[in-house]
Amino acid sequence: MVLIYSKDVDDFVNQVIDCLEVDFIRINEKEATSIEEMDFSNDSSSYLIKNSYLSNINLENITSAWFNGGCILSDGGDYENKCYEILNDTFFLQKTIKKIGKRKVDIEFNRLDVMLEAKQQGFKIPHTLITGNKTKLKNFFDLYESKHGIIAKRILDSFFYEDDEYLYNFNLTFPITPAVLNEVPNEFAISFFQERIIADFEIRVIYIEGNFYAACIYSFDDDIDYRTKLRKMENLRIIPFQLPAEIENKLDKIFKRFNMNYGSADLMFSNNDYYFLEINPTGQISFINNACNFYIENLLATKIKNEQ
Amino acid sequence: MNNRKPINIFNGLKIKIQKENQSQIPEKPKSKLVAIKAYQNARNITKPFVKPISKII
Repeated sequence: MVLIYSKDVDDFVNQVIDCLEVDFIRINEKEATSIEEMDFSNDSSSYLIKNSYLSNINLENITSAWFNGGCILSDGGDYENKCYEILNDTFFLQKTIKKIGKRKVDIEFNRLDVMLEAKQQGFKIPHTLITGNKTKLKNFFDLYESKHGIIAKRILDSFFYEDDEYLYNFNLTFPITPAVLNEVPNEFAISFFQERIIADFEIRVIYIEGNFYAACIYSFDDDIDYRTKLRKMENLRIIPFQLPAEIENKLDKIFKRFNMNYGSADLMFSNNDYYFLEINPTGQISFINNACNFYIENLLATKIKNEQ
Repeated sequence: MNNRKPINIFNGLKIKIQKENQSQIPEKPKSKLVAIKAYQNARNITKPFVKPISKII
């Protein structure tokens, strides 16, 4: 199947379509598209969309794409349109298919992009579902209910979201409980879900121009996000950790792929496997630096001073 | 257009927005004098004193 990404009105696109003798899907800026689900696991990937004339189209099966302007639009508001744009662009940037033309938008760094790159580098990733449909969420919830449940993260990099009544902070990862599931409407704005991995320990890695500083973090409570405990540092143990060379090499490739020479990465160690969670270009690292006596501030100051 | 909200609104981290509106401006005591009323209203419009006060009086 061929994907054509086009402006709303373009005679040349119509002429090309007349010559096509294969299935195609056209995404343009006027017609609302619905991302039904994006499902990524260690074994498989699928990306289902529908619009007014096609349903359950799996864009994983796209064999070539032509980018000729236009953009993907949801039938939701600006927030959801931004999510759609990032998710869709990320998916096609990662796909190694024949591409003609280029998406002109400069997409921001985002967790899906990095996660798919990590998967390509051979890291394990938590099973991930991106959807705005309650039935699909419920199925995903049921799948992991007897294991460790599922969690939700934000899609966009920005922390804050506002509606008419409240200002929300989307920074923290949180669990999807039966109570949350009960409250969720049948259709909600596209959201990011993952199976919850119970880690033996979490690892935060600081990366500066090829140098790695890693610490493992043991959390002795059942918290989803250990960052909630950084203020009091109770039931939290942070100690230096030497990453295996193989893991450092994989991470190095990921950082270089995104043209990053500074940042932090979050990993989990569970059942003798390293799971990749995310990379953060401006992550909090001082708690690692302080707890492990890395004195990275000296290195960074030297690099800045000497313009190396 | 559907203004749906993402699942993250259920994470429990939210604060009520205090909307600034006209009722939050402390009321000055009302007066029966037209000129003073015009002055009080003028605080809430972009173009105060549309008419010269002498004409209102």
